[in-house]
Amino acid sequence: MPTTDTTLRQQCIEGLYADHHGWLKAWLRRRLGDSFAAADLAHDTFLRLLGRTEALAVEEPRAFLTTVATRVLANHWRREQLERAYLETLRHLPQALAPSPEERALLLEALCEIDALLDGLPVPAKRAFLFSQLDGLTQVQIAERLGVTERTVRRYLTQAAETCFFADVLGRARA
Amino acid sequence: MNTAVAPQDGANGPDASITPAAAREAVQWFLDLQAPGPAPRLREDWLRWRAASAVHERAWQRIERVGRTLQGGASPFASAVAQAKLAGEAARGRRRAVQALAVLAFGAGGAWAVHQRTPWREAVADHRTAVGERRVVTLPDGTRVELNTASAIDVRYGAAERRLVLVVGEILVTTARDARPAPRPFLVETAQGEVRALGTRFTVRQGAQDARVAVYDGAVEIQPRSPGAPVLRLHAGQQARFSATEVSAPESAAQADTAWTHGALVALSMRLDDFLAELGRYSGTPLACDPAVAHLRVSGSYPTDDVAKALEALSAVLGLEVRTVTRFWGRQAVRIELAPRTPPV
Repeated sequence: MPTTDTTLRQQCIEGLYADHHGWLKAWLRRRLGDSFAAADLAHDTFLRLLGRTEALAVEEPRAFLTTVATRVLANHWRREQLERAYLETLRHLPQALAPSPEERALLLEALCEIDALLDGLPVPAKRAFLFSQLDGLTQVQIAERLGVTERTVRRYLTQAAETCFFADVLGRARA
Repeated sequence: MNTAVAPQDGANGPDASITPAAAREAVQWFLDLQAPGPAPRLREDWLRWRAASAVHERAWQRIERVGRTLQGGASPFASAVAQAKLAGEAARGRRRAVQALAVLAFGAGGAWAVHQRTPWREAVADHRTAVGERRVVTLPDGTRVELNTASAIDVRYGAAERRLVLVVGEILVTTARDARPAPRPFLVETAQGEVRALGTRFTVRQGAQDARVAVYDGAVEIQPRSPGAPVLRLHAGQQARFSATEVSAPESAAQADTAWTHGALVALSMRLDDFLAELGRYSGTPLACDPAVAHLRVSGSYPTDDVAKALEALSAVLGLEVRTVTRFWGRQAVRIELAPRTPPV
C-alpha cells in the first residue's frame, strides 16, 4: 500500500536507502558512465523522496526507485544540455551582452522548467512555442521561419500550449 | 471531487476541477489573444467567456500562472539557448545553434522590443497599434491620444483621476479640460514612473531602459517611481528622459519629433545607425547598416508608412545599396541593411 504517514514514510525511506542505495548507484553509473555523478544523483533521488509527498510504493522497491531515478536523470540531462547550449550561445555573444552569473542561474532555472513543461512534444511544436513565447513572434512570422503553413503553426501551438498548461487535465503524457 | 462545481471553489485548489473542454477553450483564447492587435470584440468575448463559468476562470488562471514561468525565459538570449538545445535534440549540430543566434542578433530591437513585456499584457490593452500602424483615440473627456507604431495603452478613468497606462510604444496626448466640477488630474503611467499633465500637449515614449517626455504646450510634472525621487517640472519646448530613480536635465524639444503623427520621420543631421534604429520601429524586418557607413549623416523627411520607399530614397541620397539579408533561414529576410555599393566585378 502507498503510505503518506510521516514517521512511517521516514522509516520506509531509511529502509530503501539501507537495502538499495548501493544498487541504485550502480544502476545510475551504468547510465552515466561516471561514478561521482552517479553518487550525486542517487543522493538527489533520495532527497526527492524525502521532500515529496508522493506515495511510496515499497512492494517493488527497485522498480519504484528506478522510476524516480529516471526522472532525476532526465532533469540532469536536461540541465546538462541547457548548460552546453548556454555556453555555445554565449560564445557568439558580444561580451557586454553576456548575462551575469546570477542571471545565468535564473535563466537556466527558467529554461529547465520550460523544457520540462514541453517534454515529449515533437521538436517543431517546441520550436514554434518557443518562438511565440520567448521571442514574441506572431503565428505568421513563425510560419515563415519554420517554412510551414499558418494552419500547421496553429496546430503546433495548440499542441504545445495544451501540453504546457494542461498536461494533467488532458492526459498528455510527459516522460 | 467532481468537475462540475459551484463557483466558490478556491479552498479545493485551483486545479482539481478544470474540465478538458475548458482547458482546450482556454488554450484557443490564449492563442487568439496573442495575435497582433486582436479586435476589441475578441477581448470582450474573452472576458465574457471567463465570466461565464468558474471552470473557465480556473483554466485561465492556470494559463497565467504557468505563463509566469514562461516569462522567466522570455528574452532573445534565453530563446537562443533553448533553440540551441533543441538543435542538439534534433542532432543537427551547430548549424541550428547558429540559426537560433540569428534571432538573437538581429531580432533584438525588432519584434523583441515590442514584446519585451508580457505578451498578453499588450494583446489585451484597451488600444493598441501594430508595427507600422498609427491611430487616433478620443477619450470620454475629449482628450485626444495618438498612438505611434507598435504601441499600447490602457485607459483608467476614475472618480479621482484620469490615468493612461502606456504599456509599450509612444503616444502624443492633447489633454482636454475635465468638465467635472472638481477637475481630475490627468496622468500617464510608464514602467519608470508618472507624468502629470498641467493643461497640455505632450508625447511620452516608453523605452527599454527609460521613458522620454517632450512638451509642446503647457507643462508636465515627472514623478519617477522610486519613493523620494525628485519631481521635475517640464515646460513647453522642453524634453527629458527619466528612469525609476531620476530625471535627466531638460533639453530643448524638437517639433520635428512629432512628425510621426503625419507618417513622417524627420531627421536633422542624424547618424545613419540612429536613423535606422528609429525607422526600424515602423518595419516588420529589422534594419541595420554596414559599420563602415554608420557615421554618415541623414537629413530630410522620410515616410514611415512605406519603409521600403524610405530606404530607397535614403540609399539614393547617400549612394548606398539596400541588401536583404536572408542567410541562415533562407526563406525570410532576417534584416535589411544599407551598405556601400559593391563595384561591378
